[in-house]
Amino acid sequence: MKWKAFLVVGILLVSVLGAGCIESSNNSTTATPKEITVKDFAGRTVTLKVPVQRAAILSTSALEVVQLLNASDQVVGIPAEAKADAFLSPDLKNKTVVGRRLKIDDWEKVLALKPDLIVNLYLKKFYDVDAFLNRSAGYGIPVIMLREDRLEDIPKAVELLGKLFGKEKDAKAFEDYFNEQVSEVKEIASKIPAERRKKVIMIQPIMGRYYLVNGNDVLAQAVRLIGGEYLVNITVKGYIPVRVPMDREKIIASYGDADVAILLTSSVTPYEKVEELKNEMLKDDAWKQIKAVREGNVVVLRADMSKDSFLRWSPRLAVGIWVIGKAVYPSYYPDWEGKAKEFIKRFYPFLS
Amino acid sequence: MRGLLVEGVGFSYGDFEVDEVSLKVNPGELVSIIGPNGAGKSTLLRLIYGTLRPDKGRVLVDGNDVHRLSPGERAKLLGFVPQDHVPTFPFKVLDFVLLGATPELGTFGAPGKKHRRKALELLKTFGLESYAEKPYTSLSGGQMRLLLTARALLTSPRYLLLDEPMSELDLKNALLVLQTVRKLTKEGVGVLLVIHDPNLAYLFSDRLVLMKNGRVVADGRPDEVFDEGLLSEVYGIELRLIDCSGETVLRPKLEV
Amino acid sequence: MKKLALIVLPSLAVFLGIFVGSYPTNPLNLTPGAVNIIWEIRLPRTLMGVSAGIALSLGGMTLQAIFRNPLVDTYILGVSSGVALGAAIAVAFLPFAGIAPLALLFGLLAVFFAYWMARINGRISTVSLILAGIIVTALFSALLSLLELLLPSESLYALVVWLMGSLSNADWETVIYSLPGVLILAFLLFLLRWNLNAMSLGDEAELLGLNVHLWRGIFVFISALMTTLVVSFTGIIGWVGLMVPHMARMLVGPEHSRLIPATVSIGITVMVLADIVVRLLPGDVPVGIITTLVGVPFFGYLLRKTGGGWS
Repeated sequence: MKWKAFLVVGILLVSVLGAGCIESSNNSTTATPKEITVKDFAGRTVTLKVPVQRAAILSTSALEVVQLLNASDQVVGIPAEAKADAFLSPDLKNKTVVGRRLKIDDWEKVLALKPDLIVNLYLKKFYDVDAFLNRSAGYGIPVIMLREDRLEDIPKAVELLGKLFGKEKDAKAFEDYFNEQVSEVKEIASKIPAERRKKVIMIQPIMGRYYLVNGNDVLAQAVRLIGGEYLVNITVKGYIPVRVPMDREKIIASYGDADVAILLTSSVTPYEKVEELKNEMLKDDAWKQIKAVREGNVVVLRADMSKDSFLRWSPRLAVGIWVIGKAVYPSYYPDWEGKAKEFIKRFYPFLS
Repeated sequence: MRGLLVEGVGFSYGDFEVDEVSLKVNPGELVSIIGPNGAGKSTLLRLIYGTLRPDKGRVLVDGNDVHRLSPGERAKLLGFVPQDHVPTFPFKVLDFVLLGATPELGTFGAPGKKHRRKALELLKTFGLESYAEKPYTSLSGGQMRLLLTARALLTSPRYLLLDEPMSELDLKNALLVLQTVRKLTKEGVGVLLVIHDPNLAYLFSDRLVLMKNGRVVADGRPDEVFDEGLLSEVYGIELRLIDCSGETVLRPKLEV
Repeated sequence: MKKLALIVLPSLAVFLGIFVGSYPTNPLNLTPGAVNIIWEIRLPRTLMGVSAGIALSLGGMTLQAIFRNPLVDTYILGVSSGVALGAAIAVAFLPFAGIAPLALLFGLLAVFFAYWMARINGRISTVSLILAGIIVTALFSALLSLLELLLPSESLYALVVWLMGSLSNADWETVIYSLPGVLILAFLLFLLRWNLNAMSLGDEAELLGLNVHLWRGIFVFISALMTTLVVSFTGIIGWVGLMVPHMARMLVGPEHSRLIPATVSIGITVMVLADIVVRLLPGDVPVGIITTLVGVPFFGYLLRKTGGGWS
């Protein structure tokens, strides 16, 4: 029996050494670095050398920005969730996975990649942000924190990352594009007369429960941008969550006057499931207490990680606002498919 | 063929052994198994009832092989009063006696009026009728023995096996159990009793089976088995038989 | 008096279950809208509460009887870990299959596995079953953790919330899958009430003519099936199976022809009332949190009072 144990230990040793060999053969591209100081979305002042050559990025939205900036080569570490994100090229998805759910499980793995920047989200509810910052400061790795709270932060995030990755030109191109979409939408919204303004709710059904999109969520901001009135504004003891679980009866009792109900897909609930749910809803006499259901104004929209989904805080929301506009005011907004095609062709050409 | 017939039953577990025991209990007969601690009396009783499976030999109840019967069929033929009972749920005394009806009920059945009447009768016989609605867990050790006996009698089994039913009883209650059991034999029930007190066994039994180290040393009428030399040897102490105004009493010889 | 209370209380709970909620439904002046709310939402939700109350309480009661231990309920068999794993598999790999069928399958699988492991030479003891339950729970939880690594954050969060147990997603479809099965099993249990009495004596039941190990298996299976018929739809609602049978026993004693109806009655009352509390809270609080908040102190009291056995 003993020799078997030795064999196992031996195999383990060899595989560990082997892995080490592969890790250490990485080469970074050389560029003339210069030191700059920026303010991140958490209001922190960060000094770092740009252009960044070896970034470890923990949020998929930031990765989508990097993809758009054509800076994939400057990324060394990605989060596990990136694998499911259709807006990321295979090239990016094949990078080393260093984190999951905004957390780093194994710092050693990160240090082995010798990152010169870590990008993460400033979400105190999800992980211990301060400990994370202290740790990376201890290792001397600068951290840029992003936030996914607001619509107008999307072009700002692109601008900031553009600066850090030395891709100012690509960033500028997207910022202009994004701002153009926003002003076009605003233009249309301004033409909608007050008496035709629609009240909107958005529901994300997950595992048999209903999660309402709250008024502070970027999607609710999009509804207001396209000229709708967003009905759900819930504060729980001074804290405003972006999603509020609510049972059917409370939804019906609270939002009976909604004109449009948007059902969102998610990585848990695929499109067909939500569509099924919508059809059940339209037949259900209780749901019909909501005006939108009674009048058949229930729309299913994708908010998952697929390539047809534009409702996430990321550059894709440039199309997302058109998607929501069309869903709420079909007669005012044009079909968004054209917008989507243009967007993908310009910024994510590998998808077309 | 009528009778409870034990044929060459053997069983071993570690150092402990029951060695090819044979004995017979006829209908209406009261047979007591006596012997020192560790003689294998209780084990033998469990082998006979069938909760323990013997390595060899067989047990026939009126011609039926006990170990081939289902637990239900077996329970209708044989009643068993266990030596120890760990009280669990505080059943009412009456309900506890009624549990004895289980072998006569179908899978989905529950005891009816007939069983209730019988149970109350039995409680009366054992002087427990005033406790009928009380939790049986509040009974004394002695009353608990009586209750277990009453439970075993509810289905009127053809043979009754009792494992030291007197162990926690005072003299009055012990007599009550023995007299009740004796009465049953008049109705044709065969009784096999494991008992500590040889004198009580002598008084009430038709036959005595004397055991030591898993073997039957003697089997016969009480006056045949009550032999000073034999008993002294089996119990490992010096015993004397005293004639006490016509009654034979076994007494240890005391050195003061 | 007791009998009356055992009929009135669950009826009252069900009445409240139908007429209490955030949508105004005045029983004296029902609008068509209120009727729709009651019919489509409150009635199925209340009936699911009835189903859960019956199944979880009777499941706990049955296992407490056959293992002669008041601190036991169906979850010791590993049901919850099985259901959790099944739900996670459904979410991770089979989004179209729905959660309930896989949860049901794995819940039962866990029980069979635990039962198989605990069965030594055809015999099955309380201790071995509890240990087997712990082993199965550990194994299934490890598999669940492994699976959780693969799940995106929102699925994980949803899974965690789902597992806390809720009646808010009940509709007629889930009620139809759950309640009739539970009622049939409850009725079956009532038919077997006398055997259950005998089985509550432990191995001594053999002297009463029962094949103890067979019946232990049958009763374990009935309680496991009953529990999974509920928790596969609702998620894990804890502590009801510990609390309710004990309350019922204090009221009517341990004899099952009285205990089963009392357990059903109190089970319905407790479950439906707990759900009404949840309805009156903001958002969609899992009812499992309420039953746990009530159940844990009760369990602690029970443990201290009984020392883990029957006094």
